[in-house]
Amino acid sequence: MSVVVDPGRAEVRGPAQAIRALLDGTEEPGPPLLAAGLRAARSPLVRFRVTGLPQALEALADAHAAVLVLPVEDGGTALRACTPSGLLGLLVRAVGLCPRPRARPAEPILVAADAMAALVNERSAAHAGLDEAQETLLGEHLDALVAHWRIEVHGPDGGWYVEVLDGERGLWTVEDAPDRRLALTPSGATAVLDEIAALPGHVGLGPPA
Amino acid sequence: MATYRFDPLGIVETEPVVLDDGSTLHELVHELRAPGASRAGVSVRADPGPEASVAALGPDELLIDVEPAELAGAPAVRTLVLVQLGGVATVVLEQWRLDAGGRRWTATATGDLALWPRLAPGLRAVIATLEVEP
Repeated sequence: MSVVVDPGRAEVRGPAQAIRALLDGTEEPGPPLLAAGLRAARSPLVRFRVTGLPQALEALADAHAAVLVLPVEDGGTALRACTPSGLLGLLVRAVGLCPRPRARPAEPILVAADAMAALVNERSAAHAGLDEAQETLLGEHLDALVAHWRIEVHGPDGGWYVEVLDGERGLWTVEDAPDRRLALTPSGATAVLDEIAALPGHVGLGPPA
Repeated sequence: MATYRFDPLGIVETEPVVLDDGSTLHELVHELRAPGASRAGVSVRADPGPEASVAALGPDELLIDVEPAELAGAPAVRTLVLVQLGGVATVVLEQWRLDAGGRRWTATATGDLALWPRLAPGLRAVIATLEVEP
C-alpha cells in the first residue's frame, strides 16, 4: 500500500491506512513545504475542525506549517501541506465566505442554546421566545440561510471558535452568552475574516492580535 | 500631478517606493516587518478618469467583501480580496476606491493573512487619514 505525492500541490494522498503509516513514521517525501506539513501533522500544536460543510474538515498545524486533512475518493485521505496563512486562506475558501448585505440593527439576539438546533433545522424563529421584531428579523435571515458553519481550534492556550449563520440576507455570528444562551449577531464578511485570521493567536499560535 | 498625504502613524514608512504599476507603496516600518509573501503596507494609486468597473478576479483571488464607505471626504467603495498563492501564502488586499478631482484613487492595505490580526488595525487607521488633492 503506497501513497502518491503531488509535489506541485505539496500534497500526499492514499488509503487511510497508508497515510496513517506515513504519519507514524519519519519519512518526509516531496518538497520542503510537504515535509514541514508532515512534521506539523506528527506533532501538532493546534488542531482545527470545520463543521457544517458537506464533509467535515480537519487541519493540524505548528508554528511553521500545517496540513489540511481531506477525504478523497474510495475512502482515501489527502494531506495538503500549507503555511499558516495558506491554511487560513484554504479555510476561508472552504466555508465560502463572500460579500453579504449587512443586517440592521446589528444588535445581538439571545436565544437558548438548546433551541439553536431546532431554529436552524426548522429555519424558523417562531419558538425561540423572541419579541416580534427580533423574531421577524431572525426569521427573514433563516428563510435565506445558505450555510451554518463553525471553525473550531484547540491549542496550548485552550480552544476558540468562529461560528456563522451565512445567508443571502447577511452573515450572523453565533457566540456563547451567559445563562446557557447564544448571541446571534449580524456581522459583515470583513469582520468574520478578521475573526478567522485571529483564531491561531487565540490558542497560542501565531502573532497576538 | 495628483498628490496625496496621510499620517503614517509610525506604522508605515513616510517615503514610498514606486511599484511597477505606478502605485506608491509605504511599507511597514522596519520594526513591524515580519517574514511574509507580500510587502505589507499601504499603497496609493491615482489614475485619470472615473472608474469604469472593478477588475475581474482570477481563480486564485477570492472576493470577501464589498461595501460603500467614505474616504478623504468622498464616497468610496471598500473591497476585501484574498489572493491565494496555492497553500504557500494568502495575501489580503483591502482597497478603497474613490473618485476625486477628476481622478480615480485606489488606497490599498496589504499584508499576509496570518499577520493580518496584528497589521489590519494600524493599516486601516493610516488609510483613514488619507487626503487627496487634484
